[in-house]
Amino acid sequence: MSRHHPQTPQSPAEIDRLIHEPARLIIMATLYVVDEADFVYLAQQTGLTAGNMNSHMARLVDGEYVAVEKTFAANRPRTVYRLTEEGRTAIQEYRQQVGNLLATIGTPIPSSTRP
Amino acid sequence: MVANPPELKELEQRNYKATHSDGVIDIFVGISMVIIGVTWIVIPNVLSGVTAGVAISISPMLAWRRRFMEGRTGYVMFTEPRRLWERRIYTTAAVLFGGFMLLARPLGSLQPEDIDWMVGPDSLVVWLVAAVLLLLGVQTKLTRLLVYSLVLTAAGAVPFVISAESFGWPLLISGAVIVAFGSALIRQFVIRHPRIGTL
Repeated sequence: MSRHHPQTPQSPAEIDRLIHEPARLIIMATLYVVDEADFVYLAQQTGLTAGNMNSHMARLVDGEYVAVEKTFAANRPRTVYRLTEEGRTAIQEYRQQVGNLLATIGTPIPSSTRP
Repeated sequence: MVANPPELKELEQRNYKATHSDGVIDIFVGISMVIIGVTWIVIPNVLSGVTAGVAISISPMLAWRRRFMEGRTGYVMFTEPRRLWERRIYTTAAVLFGGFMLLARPLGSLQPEDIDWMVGPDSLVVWLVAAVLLLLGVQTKLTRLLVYSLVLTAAGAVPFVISAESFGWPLLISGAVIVAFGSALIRQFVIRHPRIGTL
């Protein structure tokens, strides 16, 4: 999956789409503020169904924003997720990108560039 | 503290509070206070043993609580700064509480006229414990700890109202109130978070 992390996007198209989806954004934000969490915790905190969670987590893992570890706790399987360094950087840059984009909304477009 | 941007810091705080809304610790603390209070009133000679028993049972209780929570809300490990902060807060509270418990007996054996600069030895110890709860409540932003602190402060006046001489009464009354709060919390928690299967 191709990704790029522009610091100052010139257009909404340059926003990181992998994070920009609301469900994935809340998953990423939740993982950003903890060291690690399992599937159950994330599903409860985000309010997503197991099916939705599975699909979004698969995309985040494919994008290498999230690392997954399958372990056992009290003889029961547990799937633990944590943000990778790339994921942590991506969410910081996403905040910057969205902030810049919102800042430009209030800026008048020069008349010479108007259609 | 965790160096997060404001909105993420708020999210972290909300998640942290959510993992402390189960009421298990409240019930444990409340029952412990009731036991210590009753012992203090009825058989003060065995108070040290009972207090030690309560202290020893903290570790198994925490292990049980962890299993209880993870079976319902899943597993989470907060960041190292948050864990460090938590260890500091709880260590400080434990040291202060331990110190107050050590003070309790010598103070309890004094007569009010021995320390006429204070309103009474019983309430002194209870109000010191209330101060610890106030500190914990402010630091953790768990509002109910502030309520417990108020309850303890008010309960500290009970010996004067009922003319009791034992430090056990305020503990017994506050403990019962905390158990009631904890029971309501755990009931809500269990309804909101039914036990889940493996996902």
